[in-house]
Amino acid sequence: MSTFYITAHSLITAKSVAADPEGYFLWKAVSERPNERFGRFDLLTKYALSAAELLDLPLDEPKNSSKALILETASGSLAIDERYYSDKRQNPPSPALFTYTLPSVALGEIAIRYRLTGPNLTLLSRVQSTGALGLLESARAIRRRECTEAIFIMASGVNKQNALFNDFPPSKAAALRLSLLSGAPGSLKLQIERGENNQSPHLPRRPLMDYLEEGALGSWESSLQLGKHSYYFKITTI
Amino acid sequence: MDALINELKEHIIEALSLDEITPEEIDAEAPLFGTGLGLDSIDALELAVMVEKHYHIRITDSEVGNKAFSSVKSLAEFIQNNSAQ
Repeated sequence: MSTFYITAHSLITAKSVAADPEGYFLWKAVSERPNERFGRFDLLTKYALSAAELLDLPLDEPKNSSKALILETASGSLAIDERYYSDKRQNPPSPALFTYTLPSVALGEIAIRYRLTGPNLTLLSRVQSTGALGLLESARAIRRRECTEAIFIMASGVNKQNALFNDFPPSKAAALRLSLLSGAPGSLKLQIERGENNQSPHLPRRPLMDYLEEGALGSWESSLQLGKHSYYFKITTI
Repeated sequence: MDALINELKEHIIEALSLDEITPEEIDAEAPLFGTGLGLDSIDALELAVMVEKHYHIRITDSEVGNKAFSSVKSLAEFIQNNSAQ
């Protein structure tokens, strides 16, 4: 059994940033710290960066390689991919759109803003992902001593006006700071247990995002089968 | 020239999605890159596309582009000089 601590977490929804039906919102809905380039970002980056901003990461410190960035996203850059190929029929297409056709750019923008030079990983998941794989990779990065803290972000940026996104939930994001250092009372504790050959219990596939949206009350449990190993996850309040 | 400068400010805000900046806040003589609006290389490409789209002028020489994009005023002068040809 490995124990980690979630010392801070955040949540961004369309309601919390007063986004319009296409997801458009302004940076000032998130933070008082300036960000002139926010308008250029795609929705995935806007939501992921907004969730990271609410973690109060320092802006003006020297480059920091001790923090890892892990993003799990179901939408990836699909919204921008669609817009880019629509624009491409005109001549010439927007260079800024092309930049955001890579979902990992969201982590790039976060790394630039907070001067983070540690490892980063972008995971493309299924629409109803629990978030367990991203949590596991965040914990592994700490265990392998690639970082002392992992910033795990779950985000999706979808255009609900487009039928492409009928199966997706609305745009939203959540971010967690995960480390081995115990957080303050009221923060969260994550326990991960590894078993062999599917020995972990079959648990309801409740997304971690849903648990956070409901105020992180009670506990969250999940399991994950990965190769020959199974993993059991539990988050509780300290 | 003033009309063109104001028009360019509107186009720059739209092309670069500078949602929280008004045309009045852009100093026509301030550097567009580095300081000033703090634009980057992606923005430079976006500006080149904007100039081609609205003014039908293609910028193919990077030195010409650097000079033209040094400020809104210099971009207006560049467009005026090249539109007249």
